[in-house]
Order: sequence, then structure tokens, then C-alpha cells
Amino acid sequence: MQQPVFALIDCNNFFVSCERLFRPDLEGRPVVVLSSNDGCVVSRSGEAKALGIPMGAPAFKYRQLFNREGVVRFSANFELYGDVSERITRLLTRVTPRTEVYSVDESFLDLSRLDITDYDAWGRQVRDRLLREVGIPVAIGIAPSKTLAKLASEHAKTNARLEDVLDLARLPSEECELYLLRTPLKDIWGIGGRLKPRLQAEGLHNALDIARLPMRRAGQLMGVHGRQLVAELNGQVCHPLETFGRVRQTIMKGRMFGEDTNRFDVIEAAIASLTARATFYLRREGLAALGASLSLSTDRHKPNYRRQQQVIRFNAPTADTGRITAGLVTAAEEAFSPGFRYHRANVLLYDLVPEQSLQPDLFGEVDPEHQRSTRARLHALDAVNERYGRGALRYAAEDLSQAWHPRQQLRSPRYTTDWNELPEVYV
Amino acid sequence: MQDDLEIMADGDGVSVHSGFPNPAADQRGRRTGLALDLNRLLVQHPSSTYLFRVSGHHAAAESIYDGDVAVVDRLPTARRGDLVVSWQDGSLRLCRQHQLLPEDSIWGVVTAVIHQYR
Repeated sequence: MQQPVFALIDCNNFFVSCERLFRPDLEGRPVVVLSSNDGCVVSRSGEAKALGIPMGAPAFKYRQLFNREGVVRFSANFELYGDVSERITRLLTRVTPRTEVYSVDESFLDLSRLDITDYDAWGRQVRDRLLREVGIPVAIGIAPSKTLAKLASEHAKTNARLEDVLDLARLPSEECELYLLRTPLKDIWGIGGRLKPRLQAEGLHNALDIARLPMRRAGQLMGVHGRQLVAELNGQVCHPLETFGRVRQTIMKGRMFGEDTNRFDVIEAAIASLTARATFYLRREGLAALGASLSLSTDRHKPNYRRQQQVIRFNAPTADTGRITAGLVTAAEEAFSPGFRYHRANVLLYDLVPEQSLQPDLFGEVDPEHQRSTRARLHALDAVNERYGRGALRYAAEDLSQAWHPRQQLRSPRYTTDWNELPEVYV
Repeated sequence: MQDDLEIMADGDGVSVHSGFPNPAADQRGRRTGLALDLNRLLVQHPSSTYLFRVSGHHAAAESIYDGDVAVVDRLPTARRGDLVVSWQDGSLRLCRQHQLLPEDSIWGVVTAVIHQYR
């Protein structure tokens, strides 16, 4: 049996890189991309990071700094990012079909079955090809497990000496441990903000500390997930490449509120965010849903525990984030009672069918051109949602729910998806 | 498309198509129902090919007109005589490879120019 080897291909500041593709003049200048209603920063160039602009920074708070430092601002251009992401996927899938698109700007590749002797050289070749052919810079981490590959890509991205590629698979274990030692908790895949303070209180501060935890202790601290994390950090595969073809029955996404809430706008925000995440997986697997349900519950450890569930059906299978969100928000309005303080929201998509059988129009014809542009938009939206899911953007969904009528005052042309907005070349 | 065909040929039993984030991509070019797909003629490398709108009237001698669509591939290495899109003095410009100055960087190679008469 071959030794498992994974690569994570991570696009640097993906949205900014897309904006720079047709604007070489933006190289070396601070650039930020704002969420769809220009609310907050969702992607920053290295120069913008150096100015101290944090991820998720509200645009209005940083307006002065933007103007003073000449920061170039863009509204999120969903179509462009979706199209570029698709080009990257297509290229990677030619490298190996064993590719998992993890998000709009990250893909895992399973290299185990490829005939590669020098992974570092292979990584540099893939990096060069993506930069040259698609025009997007990437960082690549290579390692025996997905968690380690992700960790390696973080170093590849931030440590200039590595020049965008780090191969942990062929590194002597002492050197590998040095990288783990230099990885803070926040950069470990799967350690969220909730877990971090607890681990720090235990005197655990970096990936090496976690990797050296006895299994029993890891289980006590972090549950099953923690045991898998320790195993993965030691190079044992717990998370194989998510294989295609496995047809899911349902997709569920849930979230606890930061604090219990009786505000409908917070619930609405959560619904939009959860729906966007659920539909991301739906589309990724080429599926569409005939039904969706929403459950809202109060804290079960407090008195008067209450759980409300609303079910909606669609007259045709759909993978449209906006449509499902709108349906669930309407359902939530019916169920919502300001007298309760809600603790958790779950969104469930069910009755899933393959997307191919989608949306014939009145005459029974399918318009692939139209569907393509809709899907490109949705896939790019998934990107923004990914950001929100991962980041600490509390009112993310306000942006997402408005994404269907965005302000987008600063949006660049849809260079690659609209005949009327092609980039211009002068003679 | 060429890329997609190769994926199918390279596949080791893993279904690539169902895993694509955008299955509609497979539909490109099928809309017309024509047996001869112009995309196949004009686009050799879908991942690295971008379309540009030509702007300006100074290339009429080369039969390239304002409003034409230039098919630009980032993959090939530009050779002498190739028409290229390059970054010159703050804008993307169309010219011949041998007309470039050392400080100009090549964005891509023009593989076709489409002129529509009506």
C-alpha cells in the first residue's frame, strides 16, 4: 500500500488576485474586496494586511484609512471569482482526478497514486502553471494528512523563504516538528475560537503541543474530533479525500448563536448563512433539493426548553441559495416568538435529486447559458459564505440576503462571464 | 472541450463529472446543437483562455478592428511574429511580440481575432 500524500492548493487573497488579473497596475498596491453590499472587507492584498486592515473590517470604520493610504476597493464580483475558480479546478482535475474542491479558493489533491518522487518540485510546477495559465498565485502544502497539508500551506503562504511551497511528506521528523512548533492554535484546521481558550488554559499553544497529547486526553478536551486531530497531526489519515458519487440523502448545517437571542434579524442572518453553506455542498455534489426545514431551539439546559420546526417544499428542485433562504426566512417569521431566547438554528435540505434534471423553462427547454451564469454567481457566493462561516462576521447573512440586490458600487466588470464587459485591449 | 475529454480519459474510475462544482460547464457549446463547435476551433486551452474586446482603430492595416473579440491564451510561449496582449505603460495593448520593449510584460498570446460583419 502506498503512503498517503495530500496537497492543499490555497489561492492567496483569492478575490484580490482575481481583481488583479486584468488590472496589472494593482500589483504592489493595497487592495481590498468588500462584501456584496460594500459592508466589510472579505479579501485583502498583502499590502492591505500590512496596513493593519483586519479581515471583516467594517468599511465605514476604515474609510479614512482607505483614503489616506490609497487603498483600492472593490465590491465582490461573484461571477468573476466563480469563473476563475472553475478554471483552477479544471486545471487541477487534469493533474489528478482525485481532487476535492474544498472551497472556492482551496482544493485538496490526493497524490498517493501519482508517480511523483520529488513532491517539492511537483508543487512548484503546479504553482507555476496556475500562475502562468490561469493567472492566480497559490500556496501549496504537501503532507501525509489533510490537516498537515493545510498546516503546511499556511507556512508556505507566510514564510517568504519557502517560496509558496512546503512539503512535509519528505521532511525528516525533527524538521517537521519545528513547523508544528511554529504553528499557533488559530492556524490549525478545525480549532475554532471556542476551543482555543480552553486549550490555552491547559498550556497548549501550538500544533506540536496538540500532536503530543495522549489520545485519552485529546478525547477529554475535544471529543472524538480531538482524537482525530491528534492522529492527523501525526500523519495518520482520518479525513480521506471526500469522494464523489456518494449521493447524500440530506444536508444539515447548524449553528449556535454567540449568545441567546430574541432578535429576528440575528436569526435571519443565521438562516441565510447556514443556507448558503448547505447549498454550497448541495451544488458541489451536483444536487438540488425539493424540501428544506428550519429548526429553532432555546437552550436545552435552561428551563422552558422549546424547539420549533418549520418545513417547506419547492415545486421544482432547487439549489438556489436566495430562493431557499427566502422560503426559510418566511417560515421563520411564522414560528418566531420574541418571548423566547433562541440558542441554536439548524437548516436541513432533503429530498435531494441530481441537478441535471433541473429547471426546464415553460417550453420544456433548458437554457444552459442562463443556468451557467446563475451557477457561476452561486458558486462565487459560496466563497463569500465560506469566509463568513470561518471568520467571526456576526451579521454575515445581512450581506448574503442582500446579495440578490447588491449595491456593488465598486464592482469591477464581469470580465469573463458577460459579452458586454470583456476586458479591453488597446491598439 | 479538450480539457474535459482528457479528464475522462485520465479518470481512474472516479467520477469527475458529478464532482465538478459547476456541471453546467459541460454544457458549453451544446446550446446551438451544431455538430461543429466553434469553441473547439477557437479555444485550445479553456483554463488559460480569456476573451478581450479590441479597442482602437490603429490596427486596421492588420485587419483588426475596433470591437473585434480577441481570443487570448496565457499558456503558449510567445514567438517572433505572434500577436500578443502585453502590459505597456499602464494599459493592456495588442502588438507583435518583436515590437515589445524589455520592460513590457506579456499577458497572453492572441490565438484568434473574431470580426463580426453583421
